[in-house]
Amino acid sequence: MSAVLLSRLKITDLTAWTALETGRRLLGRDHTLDRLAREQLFLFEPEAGGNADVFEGVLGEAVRHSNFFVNPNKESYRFLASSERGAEWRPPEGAWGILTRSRDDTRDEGLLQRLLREHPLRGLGAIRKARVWWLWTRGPGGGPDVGRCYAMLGVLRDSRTGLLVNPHGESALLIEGAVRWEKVERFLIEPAPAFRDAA
Amino acid sequence: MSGADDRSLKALIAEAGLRLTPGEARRMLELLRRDPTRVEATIFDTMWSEHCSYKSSRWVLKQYLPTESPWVILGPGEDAGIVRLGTHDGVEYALVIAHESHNHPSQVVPVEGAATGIGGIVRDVACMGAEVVGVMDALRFGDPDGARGSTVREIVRGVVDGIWQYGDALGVPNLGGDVFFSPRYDENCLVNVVALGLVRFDRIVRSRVPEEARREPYVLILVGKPTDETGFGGAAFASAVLEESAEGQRGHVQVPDPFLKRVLLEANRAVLDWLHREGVVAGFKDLGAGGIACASSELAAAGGLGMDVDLDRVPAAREGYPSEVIACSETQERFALVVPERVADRVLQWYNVTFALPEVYDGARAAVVGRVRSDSRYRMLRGGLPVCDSPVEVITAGIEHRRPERPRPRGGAPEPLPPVHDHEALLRKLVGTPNLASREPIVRFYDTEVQGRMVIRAGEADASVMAPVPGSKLGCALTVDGNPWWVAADPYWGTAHVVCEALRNLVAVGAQPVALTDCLNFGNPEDPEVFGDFGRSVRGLGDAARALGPDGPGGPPIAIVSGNVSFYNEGSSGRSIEPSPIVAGLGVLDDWSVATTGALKRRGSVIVLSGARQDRLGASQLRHALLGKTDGSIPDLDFERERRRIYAALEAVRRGLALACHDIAEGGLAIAAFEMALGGYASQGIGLQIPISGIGDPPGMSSEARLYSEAPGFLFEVSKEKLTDFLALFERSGVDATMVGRTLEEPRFRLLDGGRPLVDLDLETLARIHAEALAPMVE
Amino acid sequence: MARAAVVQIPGVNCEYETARALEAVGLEARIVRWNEPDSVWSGFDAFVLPGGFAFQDRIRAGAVAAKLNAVDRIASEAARGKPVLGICNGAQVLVEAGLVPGFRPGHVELTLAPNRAPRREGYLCRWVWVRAEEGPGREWFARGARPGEPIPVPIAHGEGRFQTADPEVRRRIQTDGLVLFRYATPAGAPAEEYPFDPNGAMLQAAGVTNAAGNILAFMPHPERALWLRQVPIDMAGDWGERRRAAVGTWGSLEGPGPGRVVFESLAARLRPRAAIGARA
Repeated sequence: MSAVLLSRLKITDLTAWTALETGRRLLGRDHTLDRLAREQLFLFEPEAGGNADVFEGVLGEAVRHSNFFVNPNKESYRFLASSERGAEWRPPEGAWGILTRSRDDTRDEGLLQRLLREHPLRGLGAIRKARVWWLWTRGPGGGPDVGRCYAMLGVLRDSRTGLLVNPHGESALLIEGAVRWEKVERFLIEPAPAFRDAA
Repeated sequence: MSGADDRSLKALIAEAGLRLTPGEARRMLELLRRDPTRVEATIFDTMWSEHCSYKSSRWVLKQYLPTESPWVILGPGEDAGIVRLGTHDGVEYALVIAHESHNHPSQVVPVEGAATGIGGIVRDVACMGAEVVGVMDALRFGDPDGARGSTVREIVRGVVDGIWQYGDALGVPNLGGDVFFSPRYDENCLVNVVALGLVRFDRIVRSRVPEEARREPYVLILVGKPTDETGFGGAAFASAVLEESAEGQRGHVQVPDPFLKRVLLEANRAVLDWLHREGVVAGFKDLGAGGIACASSELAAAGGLGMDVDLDRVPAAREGYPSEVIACSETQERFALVVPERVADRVLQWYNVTFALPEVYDGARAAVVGRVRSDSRYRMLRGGLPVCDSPVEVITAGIEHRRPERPRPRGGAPEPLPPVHDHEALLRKLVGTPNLASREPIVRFYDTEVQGRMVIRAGEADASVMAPVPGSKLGCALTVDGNPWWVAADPYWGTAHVVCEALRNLVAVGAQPVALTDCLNFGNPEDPEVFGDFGRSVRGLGDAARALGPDGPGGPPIAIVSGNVSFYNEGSSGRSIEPSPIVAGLGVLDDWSVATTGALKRRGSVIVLSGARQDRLGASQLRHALLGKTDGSIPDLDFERERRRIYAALEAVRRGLALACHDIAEGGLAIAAFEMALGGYASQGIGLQIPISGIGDPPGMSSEARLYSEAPGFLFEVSKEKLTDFLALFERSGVDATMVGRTLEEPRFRLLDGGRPLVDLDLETLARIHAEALAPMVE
Repeated sequence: MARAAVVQIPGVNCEYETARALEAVGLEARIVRWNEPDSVWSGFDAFVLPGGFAFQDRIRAGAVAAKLNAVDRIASEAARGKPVLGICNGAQVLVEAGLVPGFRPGHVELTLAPNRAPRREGYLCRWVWVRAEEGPGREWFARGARPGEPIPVPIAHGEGRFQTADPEVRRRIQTDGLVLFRYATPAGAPAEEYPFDPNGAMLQAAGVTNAAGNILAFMPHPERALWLRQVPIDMAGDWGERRRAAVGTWGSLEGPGPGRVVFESLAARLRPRAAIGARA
């Protein structure tokens, strides 16, 4: 079981604003994009055979009391220790999400080395990074119409379709309702599947 | 407020969230002749902050600093200074320069703090009508290996990120700068920024309501980001001591946006071009500290007229901000423009339609928010009612504090340096110490090439050189310097040395020094010892600037055309930073093609030293490396000898008599020679050999002093063919010049003493140590 | 005289030196704003998307700009055979708009992923060397570059790693010769490691074209290597020698630099076309 850190800007997130504006243009008149938020996800994976509780204490201190991961002047965060994170990850009220990761190995070796240098801790095998986009949409029927909105705003296909994910660099996991953390872990740990635009 | 005693005044001020002293509050009442409104109190609080008012420093600066010379078009007083560059194709050009600090915000939110620093200084130069052609930064960080090393390293990384993220995106090349590490910056880093602009004489725009406003109606246009609460109280924040908890500072975080800024600068360019074509005279000012209140009142006061500002017409990020927030918030990316009412709609159209500001940023736009008055009354209106109403000169009058100065007690006799037994091990250590290691890992984040004007870039030579006017021979050079250990050891002479170093750096690339700017970073001015340091530092700065003009003390000085004072640089422990005057030197070249670097160029050439080594190793890098101390006596400085040396070096480089020229500074002759060898090694695989036996005055001094004395001087690489002419030039100028070494076929670095090698190392090894030392901090 | 449009998308910041580069090789250049009327674009013979940070690279470099109407219009002009050069951020826009490689028109077949090199993450500004390869883009953008000749040019990007997840796309890019410029060593050999390979791009690609060769997505900045004076004095190799020898001689330093070959090639290719157009 891994520990998880989710951080987001509490000062204006200009990227989220631009994504919101661009998304609204792409969706057209039948769909509404009410809100869009962006989070950074860090997954702290224990060494093989180990447990996250070995390092979570020191790691939690580094998160709370240094600016290594989070600067409290501009960011807010949720640090979910392995025992606290629960079985599932739930989107914010009314939202659905797109979790995106690089197609390369998601481990950030440089960040890990820097963390070990700045905040020595034991038992941490890897830090993996991913981005989460939360979207609040409404379709013609009043519901979120996730299928259509994901097609329009999610994976890029051509200059008219898709926005938040370029499939040649990233792969995506649609989060519609609660998702099991094991699934998130597998998505981040296993190699990204080969991609072929089927159209 | 009237009639209240000190205690109740204090309580009233604190309750309003202000920082005025009771004495200042009384002065405000005296000027207004009534109780202030909340908006007025906030305006005075902001305008009388140390940051905006220079209340402690102004009289010292006025007394000691020369600000005029034949090169100067506009000295301190507006947002930036302006200096003559030269004429090309019948058009006269000028350089615009401004220098600021953004220290406290960078300590608290390093990325945004440093970025906002770049953003602010760029506005200062842009609002004079100039195209911004470069930025430079002087950074002072704590000890990366000390007790607070982890925080220091976070700040280094954040500041570097902020600088590149803003500057690169804005499309302004980074001209380099300098970095210095010292434990006394642990709790209070320094981020000083310089911006350089290019403007045609006939296109200079002033930060004032023009004379024409007496003959036709003029309005105030506010353009840029919608006003919000960010940075409310920022000027006061900049003037306060940093508290331990960074949590408490968050309301002051300013959100920089280089993207909106870039579009704004393009739109400004189009608007100013159009106004010029139409023959319309405008006033233009950036919004920085003090926001709308400061910018609009200063525009009005500078033109001798008044203004009505309608706060309801200010585009705001949301509804319902209190009037004092709209009036004084320091929302980034805004400018104020004063234009005739008849062209206002056309100006709004440029911004809002042609450059589509509202589509580029949520709520961004240009709007008419005020009107110039024919009298000198300054009013702010909300809901049609005045929330500020006063003669404009009362708002901008400022305030003054005469602070006492007290010299610091002298320390005991400095501990002697231990002898060095292994010079190779020492050199290997020194080239990897934070203050002497390569800046390359930092510079690789900075875009030096954008705009295509670069001739010599950051890290290649002692100063950066640009060809600012396309197709012209006119060049300009910029450097920034300040050795805090020297100034701490001796505020007067240490600061004078800083000026000398800046000038040496300019002439080393063949540039004629024409102006200086200063950013004076000190601790709490209410401490008489801190203010004593300040006073002596300013005197050293002024005396050096007067003594080092090309014709000496009788002739014109190298004038100080812009600058900034930053006080209260201390952490919660109460320990203030080292007194840190930082000086930027601006030079011009009639023909930039003469500019060369400090790197060795050729096999078989001769190394010449000018500047005797002195047996003074106080506050040196060597002393710090061997003992961890920075006390002791710094080298002597003889203004007249230095002046002659500086201008002889200038002539040598201009006439092409030197293949390379490098100033001797931190780390002394050994490090200067090593830095020259590095470039020659990289380009051609050559090396350097210097026998040090003949160096030094008196002759008996230690090898440590010969190698590591930081006494002022230069090293030159001179070809055998030009050696006679080179030495003749120095002899004619009455300046010492001694052949001390030669370049080598092989890539080795050798320092010999009496034929015995003290150091004989391959340059590849040394280069790697030097190149990689800072990498882990930023990569 | 052939006319080139330098496309000013909000956040772009190299439009002026790019226009100067085009003028230096005898083209007429005009900076055209993204929101000018649709009819403006057909009046140009060539299009250059300059470097910078269009929309601040928000979401991904080039992602938002690729959706602009102006980019659609330029794509239509390119389909008629007009050349399009995307430099750095411009290259990112072309890739995100599906114009390069464009095997299936409009489909996005590549990305410019974040740089990846051992121990060096993030934005990187430095001079590198590239060499021109054989391929359909040569007659447009690399005429006059000798095979294997190392050309020094600066880069300044954080997302410059050409990459595709589709093995078929990669195969065709290689077999059709669409990698027009590859990162190289100072001696002109293909770059194998950092810093000569600055970002880990597939096939060491610095510049990729479409199959017709008239659209080039080029990560380095040739407009910043237009004059000899821009070459660093202490650079190794021939260009460094030339630069050092020219110190003190303004005329030589104001002479051509290594990146000019790209613009000269474009001008040479446009010359006969424009002449034909003028006669008609």
